Amino acid sequence: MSMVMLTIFHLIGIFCAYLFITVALPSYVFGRKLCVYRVPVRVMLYFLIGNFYVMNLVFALQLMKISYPATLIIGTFVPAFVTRVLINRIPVFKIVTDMVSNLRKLIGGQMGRRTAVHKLGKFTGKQLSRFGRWLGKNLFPGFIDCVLILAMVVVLWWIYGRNLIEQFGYKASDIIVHNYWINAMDDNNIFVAGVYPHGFHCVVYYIHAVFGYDVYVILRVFAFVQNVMIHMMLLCFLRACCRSRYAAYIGTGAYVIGDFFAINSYSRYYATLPQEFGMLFIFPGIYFLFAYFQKRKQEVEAHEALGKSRKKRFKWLPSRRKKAIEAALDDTVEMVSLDEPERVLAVGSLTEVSLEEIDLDDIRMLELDEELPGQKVQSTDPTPKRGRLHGIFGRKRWNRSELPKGKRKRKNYPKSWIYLTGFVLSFAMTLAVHFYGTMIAGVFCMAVAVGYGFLLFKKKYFWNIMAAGMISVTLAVLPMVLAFIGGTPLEGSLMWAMSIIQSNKEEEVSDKTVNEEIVIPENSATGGIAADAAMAEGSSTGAGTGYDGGGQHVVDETPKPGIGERMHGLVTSVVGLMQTIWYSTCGMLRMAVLDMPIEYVRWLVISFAVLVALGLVHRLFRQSCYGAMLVSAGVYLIFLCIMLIAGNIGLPALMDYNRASIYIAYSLPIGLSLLVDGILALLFLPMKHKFLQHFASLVCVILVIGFIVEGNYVKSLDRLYQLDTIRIQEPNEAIVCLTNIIRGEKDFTWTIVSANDMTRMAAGHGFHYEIITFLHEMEGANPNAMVYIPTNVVYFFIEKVPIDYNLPYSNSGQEISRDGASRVLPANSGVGMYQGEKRWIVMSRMYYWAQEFQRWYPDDLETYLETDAFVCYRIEQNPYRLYNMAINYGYNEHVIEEEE
Amino acid sequence: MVSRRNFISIFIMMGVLLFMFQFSQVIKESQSSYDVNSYVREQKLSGKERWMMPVLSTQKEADYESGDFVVFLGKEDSAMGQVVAQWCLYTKRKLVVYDNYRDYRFTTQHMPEAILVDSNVVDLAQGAISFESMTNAGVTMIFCNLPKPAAINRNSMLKRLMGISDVYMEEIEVEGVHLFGDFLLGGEAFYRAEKEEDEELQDMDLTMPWYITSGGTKTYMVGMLDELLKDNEDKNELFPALIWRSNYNQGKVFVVNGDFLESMMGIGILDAMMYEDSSYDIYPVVNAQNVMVVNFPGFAGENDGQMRELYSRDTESVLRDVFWPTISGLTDRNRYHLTCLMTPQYIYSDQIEPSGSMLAFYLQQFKEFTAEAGLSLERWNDTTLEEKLERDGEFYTSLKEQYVYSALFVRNEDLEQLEKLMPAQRFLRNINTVTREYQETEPIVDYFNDDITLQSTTVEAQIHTYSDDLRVRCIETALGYSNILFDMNQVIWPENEKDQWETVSEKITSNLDTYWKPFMAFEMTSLSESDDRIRTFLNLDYEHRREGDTVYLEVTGVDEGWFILRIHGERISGIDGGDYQEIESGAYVIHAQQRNVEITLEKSRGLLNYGVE
Repeated sequence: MSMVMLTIFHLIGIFCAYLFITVALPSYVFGRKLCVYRVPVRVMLYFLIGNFYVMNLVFALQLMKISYPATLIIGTFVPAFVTRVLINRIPVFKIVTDMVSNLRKLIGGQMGRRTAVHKLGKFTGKQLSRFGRWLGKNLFPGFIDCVLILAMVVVLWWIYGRNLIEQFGYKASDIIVHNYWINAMDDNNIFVAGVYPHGFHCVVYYIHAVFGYDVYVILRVFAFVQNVMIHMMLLCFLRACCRSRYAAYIGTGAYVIGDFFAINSYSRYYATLPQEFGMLFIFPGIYFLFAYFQKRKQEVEAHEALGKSRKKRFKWLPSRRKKAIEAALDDTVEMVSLDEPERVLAVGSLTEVSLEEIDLDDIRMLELDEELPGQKVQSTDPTPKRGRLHGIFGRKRWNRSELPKGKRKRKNYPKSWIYLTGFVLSFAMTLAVHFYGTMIAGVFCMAVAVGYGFLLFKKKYFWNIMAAGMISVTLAVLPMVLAFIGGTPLEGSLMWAMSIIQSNKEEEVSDKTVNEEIVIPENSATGGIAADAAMAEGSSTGAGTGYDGGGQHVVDETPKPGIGERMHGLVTSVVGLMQTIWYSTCGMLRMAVLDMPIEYVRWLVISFAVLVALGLVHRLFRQSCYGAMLVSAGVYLIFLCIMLIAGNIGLPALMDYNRASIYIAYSLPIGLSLLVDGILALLFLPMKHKFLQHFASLVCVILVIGFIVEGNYVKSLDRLYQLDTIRIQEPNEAIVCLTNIIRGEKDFTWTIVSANDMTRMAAGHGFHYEIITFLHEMEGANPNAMVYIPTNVVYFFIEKVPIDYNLPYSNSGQEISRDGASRVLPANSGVGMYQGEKRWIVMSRMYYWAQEFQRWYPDDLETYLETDAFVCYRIEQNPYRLYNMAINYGYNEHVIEEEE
Repeated sequence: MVSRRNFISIFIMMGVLLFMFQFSQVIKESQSSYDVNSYVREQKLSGKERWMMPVLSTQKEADYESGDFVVFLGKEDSAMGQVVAQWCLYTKRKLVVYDNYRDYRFTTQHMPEAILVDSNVVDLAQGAISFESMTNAGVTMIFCNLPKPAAINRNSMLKRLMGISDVYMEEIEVEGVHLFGDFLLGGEAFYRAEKEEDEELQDMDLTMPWYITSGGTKTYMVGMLDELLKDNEDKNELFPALIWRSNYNQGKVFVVNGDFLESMMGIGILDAMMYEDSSYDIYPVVNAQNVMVVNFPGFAGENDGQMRELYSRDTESVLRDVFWPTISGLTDRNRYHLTCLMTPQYIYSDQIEPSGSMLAFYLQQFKEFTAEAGLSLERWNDTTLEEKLERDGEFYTSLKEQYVYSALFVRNEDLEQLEKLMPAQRFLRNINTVTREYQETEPIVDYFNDDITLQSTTVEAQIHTYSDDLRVRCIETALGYSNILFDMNQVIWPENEKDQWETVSEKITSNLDTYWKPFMAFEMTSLSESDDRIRTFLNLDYEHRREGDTVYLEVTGVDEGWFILRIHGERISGIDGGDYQEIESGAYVIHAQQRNVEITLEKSRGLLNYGVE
């Protein structure tokens, strides 16, 4: 089998494992309860529940030091099963008893084999039929959605996935650090390098521990999995928000295939990194916040309406029952929505009214005149709408025991607290995975506060939101706090992130080197940026604003001017500041986010304001929540722009612009989709049936995709290939050899001598020895030097054409040579010894050592794999008498000195 | 009362049963050709056609091509000289011997395959520079033993040449010896008495100089220590080296720290060194594994009293009912072709005469258990060999059996006399092979005369000491041959409890089951079968070469032959002109059935499971 096929199998396996644990299993557990929600909402809910549970399960077990595959499996499946049984009230005991009884009958001969087979067949048929119905219900109505999603995944594979089978190694230098942290979790040593948001690491560790994939394999291929899910979450978010069925695909599609974005805004998608993983949880949480406002508003309005009409509606009921229900409602309306008949009944029972006397179907669902964003009303009442409230009681009174079978089924309705829970889970996970995700979610929350300000500051909303926020932060921070209290120090990058937030100075931000690798490609847009930046600078200084470059107020010593002059000065300052913001925004967007002419960028920025205006228009048409959502989205995009230029206008720069560009690029599809959706919703507002609106949105999708394809705005593969070559962290052959070694040798019987990455990749299977240490130990060719590697087999990974390990140099791509071997060996410290020319020297030395060793031990050193650019040697040695590998291979330092 | 009808039924059933059991036995006996020795072949190779080692004149050594001969710097008549000569004879190498290294004029045009140096004869310190220049030219040096440690310590050139980084101690007594795998056949072995009962097995010389080898060396055998001294704890690499290889410039230097090459086990060590020296090695072997039961059966009840005391029956019954079932079971289990070397009587002056009544029984049994009958010339000390031959001749003649006795066992001290007396003994006229006890410097297999081969035992069945084990491995490596001696006199004439059958049989069973497992690829033979193979081995000549992945073998002088092929990191993928059997990883027995054999090799480790593409 080729490595390509193996990688594809790994990818499929890990994808399935991740989807199983984050979507399928939550769906199995909560499916019946959450089936009332629309598919995208359900997917987001399952996804959040699954990820949240996995992260916190791992956190809990790790902190208790009992995290093993067995405990993880038990901790996953037992609670899942029990929860499913409890919430769905599955009569497990009865099922088991029946099964045992049937088995006894079968064994005892009281049941014939044919009967048993018939029963089994009937059961299987029933399950298959259920599955078929489920498919029919969910798949076929969304056929176009399925096609579009499939197309999106294919395109994602073409753009991002192929890289997995072309470059087997890691795509960012800091993955190896995460690899190390995840490896440590095998020893129940979470936070090995200090307290750090480990949500991402927990998920990877979980897949590794439960499904048996090696960490390095997951880190190699998980990038594509999380990449697909990032796009899926964006799609789900938009699909749930938009009123037009296909408007979501406009933004998502343009984001996936459009070549409008700077490479650095999506280049990190090639690597499995926590920051990108954290992006998964930003938008679902925001949707649930939207939905919460929407639903909560309905509940509050329903409650208020019910209070007014209660006496009038109850007139026709017998007094005894009326009292009971009234009492029940009085007790419950404050705590639950009226659409929970069970709860009403439960409280009703406390008023000493027999449950049998209160009929479930007597209490009807409140039908409201406003839908959730993009959601259909879950109508249970076949009667036509009559005004805002259609009544809560039916005409006929049923005794519960007399109910027809079909009517005994309990109904379930969307509830605001579930949305709020979704928000809590989502926000907590942004914090548990990466702070940057939390920052963006926080910015969006601020925008939501602006958009939904008319609701947020009301008592019935505000405290719920505040409590949710606090709970989410507590949930996310708790494991870290526990570890910190336990004596684990903060991880270095965490300290750095905190210092960045505290710092106001842009220079500090830009000069800091982050732990993670950032690839900044050459961008032709720099000229445009410089122009805009210059304009911003000119307008700032030329207008004589009262701010210096650092945003500090300059104290003017001149005599105080008059009121008119001061007003004029103030206006001039404001205008100047607005100009600065305008030009800086356009310039920075052009530089960091968008790869398009500056005019288009300006139009794009204007569109944010249009989105806000559109939201306000919708509010005028009594679409208050939908309008608020559009306003929020527009304000969010404006806030992101301000965040991008914060340093230019004297605000604290929360985020390096390279990082911010990723989030901005990821957020722009929201603006596009919601803009189109808002316009369509406005156009088709008077129409009762929305078919035309949906059709129009589909046409828009086709037009946008057609425009991108026909206008040759598809992501350039050439540029991507160029990107691939500079991202290489390990030669393909090294990964091939590593995989073969792990699968072919017994664990801990082998050592790889290579340039640093294998230390973490091979952990749990074998050992690693640094090339530089190896060479240094025999430097000087001391005949008494001893270099022993205490395993049966030793592999040497030597790059005949050394790779550019994050640092190209003037002779990049040159082959190892005697000239390289004769150079002075680099110092034995830091990663720098494997970069640039030093790597060439190290590899040259290593190669000629191997040649000499092979001459001495021709039968003991064999070539494991050799290509034009790479060679792997294998030495099998006697564990009782290891080879002293310290030999004089001709280039040891003292030899050179002697020759000189 | 039994009715007539029932009586008849029972009678018929009994009759049928009787017929079924007896009939098969009758048929078996009537059809058995127990009086024919099926292991004896009529046409045999003669010693006249044996391969003779060319007598190389030291003056004419230049006539030989590079790599076509071996130089021994030492005395030809020394123990080591004999071992080296025997090794060259067995491996069909040409040998040139010099008493002094100065006499040997080394030229790169006529480089020997290897230069073996006996430091008892050659002054290594003085010759160090010469040896270095030879090594630089790429020749393989074998230092068959070492001078005193002080002499080595003084000479840094010698130390560098031999790959010695330090003479750590001039003498140390080690706990045991560790033989590493992939050197001698049979794999890794620890010769160290861990338990009290193992201490009787430890008979190796455990006192040795302590040399620490330097980088670039490969060690094959070391002394074992419980703890290293002070600051060098837990470093197996510092254990005293016994046999190692050093790489010096273009050549390789093998060093033996001990007297292993002064006995016949040296031939195996030399073969292993040659294998280590090249990418492959192929050399002829006997391919025979013999087990001899000497002095069994006996036909005179000479020790009936003691036998009755120990086993409650007379000697004849003990041999038949107690000893033979165990021996035959052993044969059956391990596929051995036993050779039972009979002696009519042991004491000829006690007036107890042998009875031949049981001979037919034993011959039938031998036939059934694929054993062979031979003759033993063992006797009590008061009887001369001549007298025994005369008395035994009378006995065998009187029996008028047609069985052809082909194998004969004789003690070493009688060998010379036997050569003279043998032609006169009619009952010995069919003898093809004579076996004797192991002697350290005597050939393991040879021609006794042109018509009769001489085989040496390699080990005793009752006891298998660590030295015995090492010797067995060496001889198996060199010849693919073993000849296990099981002397029944010990149990027929027991001196203490350890000589009783239950103890002896347990030891034999355990020894044979354990120590020969690694050599099961070699063929189990009786002495007559082995005789044929020895003739083949001694008579054949061969040439070999390797081209790419194919080894070409040309065998001359015989119709078929057996070889051992040893290869590094490869395995046989196909053979033409013969067949092969794997002994262990990288070692094969090749049965050449045609003059030209082609052996195709491939990497023993397959290609990558997951390729780059």
